[in-house]
Amino acid sequence: MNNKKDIDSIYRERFKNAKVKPPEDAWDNILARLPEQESKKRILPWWYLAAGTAAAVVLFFALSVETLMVEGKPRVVSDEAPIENSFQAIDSAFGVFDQQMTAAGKVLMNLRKNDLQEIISSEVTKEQIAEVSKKTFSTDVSFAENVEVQENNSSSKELTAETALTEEKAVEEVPNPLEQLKNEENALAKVKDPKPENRFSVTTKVAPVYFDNFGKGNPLDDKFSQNSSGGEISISYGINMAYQLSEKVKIRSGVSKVDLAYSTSSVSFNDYKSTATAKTKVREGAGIMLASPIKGELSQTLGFIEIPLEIEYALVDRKIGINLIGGGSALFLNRNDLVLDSQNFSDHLGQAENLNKFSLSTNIGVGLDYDFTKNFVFSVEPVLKLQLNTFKNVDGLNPYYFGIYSGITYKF
Amino acid sequence: MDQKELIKRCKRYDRKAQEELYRKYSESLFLLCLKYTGSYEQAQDLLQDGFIKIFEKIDQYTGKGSFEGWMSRLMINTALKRLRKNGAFLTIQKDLPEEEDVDIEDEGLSLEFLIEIIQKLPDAYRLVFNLFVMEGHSHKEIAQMLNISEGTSKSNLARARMKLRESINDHLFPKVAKSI
Repeated sequence: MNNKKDIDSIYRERFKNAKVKPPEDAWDNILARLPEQESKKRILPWWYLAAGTAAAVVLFFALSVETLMVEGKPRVVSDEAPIENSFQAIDSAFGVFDQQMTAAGKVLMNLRKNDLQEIISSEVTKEQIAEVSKKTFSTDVSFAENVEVQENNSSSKELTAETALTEEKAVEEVPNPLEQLKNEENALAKVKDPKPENRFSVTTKVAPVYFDNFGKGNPLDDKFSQNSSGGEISISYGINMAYQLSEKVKIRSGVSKVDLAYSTSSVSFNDYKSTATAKTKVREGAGIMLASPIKGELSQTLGFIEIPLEIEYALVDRKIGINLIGGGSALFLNRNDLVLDSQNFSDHLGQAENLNKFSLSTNIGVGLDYDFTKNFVFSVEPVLKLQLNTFKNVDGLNPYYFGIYSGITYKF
Repeated sequence: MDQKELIKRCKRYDRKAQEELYRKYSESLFLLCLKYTGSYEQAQDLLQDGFIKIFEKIDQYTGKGSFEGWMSRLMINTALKRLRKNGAFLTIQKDLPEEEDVDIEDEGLSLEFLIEIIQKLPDAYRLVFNLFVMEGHSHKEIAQMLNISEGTSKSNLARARMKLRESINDHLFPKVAKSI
């Protein structure tokens, strides 16, 4: 019996509900490649522990204020019972570091919920820093006030004086308070850590970073500026080297890898395709299986190799220290991905074309550090980095990323 | 376990549930893999990659639409990613071949044979044939999905059919007989 059909029907009918047994070892191969069951669960405790570190950050503030004012006198750093075993030091260092890192992430998440701009301009943060620095200066350099007073006296004498003799006397008097200041500083320097030899230090740094935009534009295309969008939290890690230029000033550089992520909602593949080709590059075959009108979330990931150059100015330099950090970074683009996540799955669409391979940022931040032992220091540094020329020709875009950097420093 | 329970447990990375899911659907999905690749070995690799993706992304399945359909699409997507990696698989043919509406006797055509000849097709032809004939997409949709023109899609389909018919004819009427 001749059963003639067209080729389409032959295939359709024959393949309908058909099955073919896969090779026996296929499941074993799959099993071998499945991730460990624990790995996903670990992410939860990561953020969960964060509360502990947020408390630690607050504790740093509290402790630093306390250490400054002990009966109104500057507290001298003493060689408190040092941790004998450096391995113990490292161990406990990593323990606290872990907590710090996780809590930093939690703090960052909370900050992200509140408008970041509000936080930065909030009076509370400024006040806290101002308060601490006021106390520092009042106790640390109290003799400076004396110096000022004396200088004023001598200068007023100069003005009113007529005779050369009086002038000479005035001139003579001025150096003395300055000498006094120098002597006091030397005395203090002997008591202070670090010793002049320990000018170099190496720090490993990790931070959760949050990427966003102060302007109103959208990093991909102006078309999307009305879509709801926001920064995502991602990670930066790297290594820094610092050199102590003077007692209060350190200069530092290093290299880190930083990945930034931003997502724009309610974007369909068609919307994406129609963005000017100058802005995005559509990969061949991209968009398969995303029936074009379906809307999803477009995630942009930018990755950079960052080389910072920053100055650290010590406001407080005790066992717990506070620094002001300022400087800039050179950013080299090394990752550029656009992924469209729709209901059922995600597709890697292509790359953004409007990114400069080399760009700069200006950095500003505050650092808290804790001298764990003579050679090991812990630090937590919230730093804001304003990106200057990451995007080509895009209006209304002031991108930045904000990270809470946790680091362990070794001085040598 | 019923499907719902199975999916729920897989979302929690329950190994037993994952294995049961595999046992339940691997045979039909392996057929899909054979259709979309050029060899048995490639199909095997695709099956493994595809299942890893299924287990990875199962928490994105919200229950809307058929689960088998969801898995199939994920598998096809995985196939396409591999094809892209292996370089340009989209043949740009400007002219449309004349299609013969010739019906073929389908007795004596085993499933294995049909799989074999579809695997022999160039990637581009096989892909369009599958998407049009098996998944039921229109040329417009295929064009959008693959970022090609509708004309290319139609041309690839026509050529795929032509080649398949050729292979079938060669099989049914071997050349030895023809040369006489």
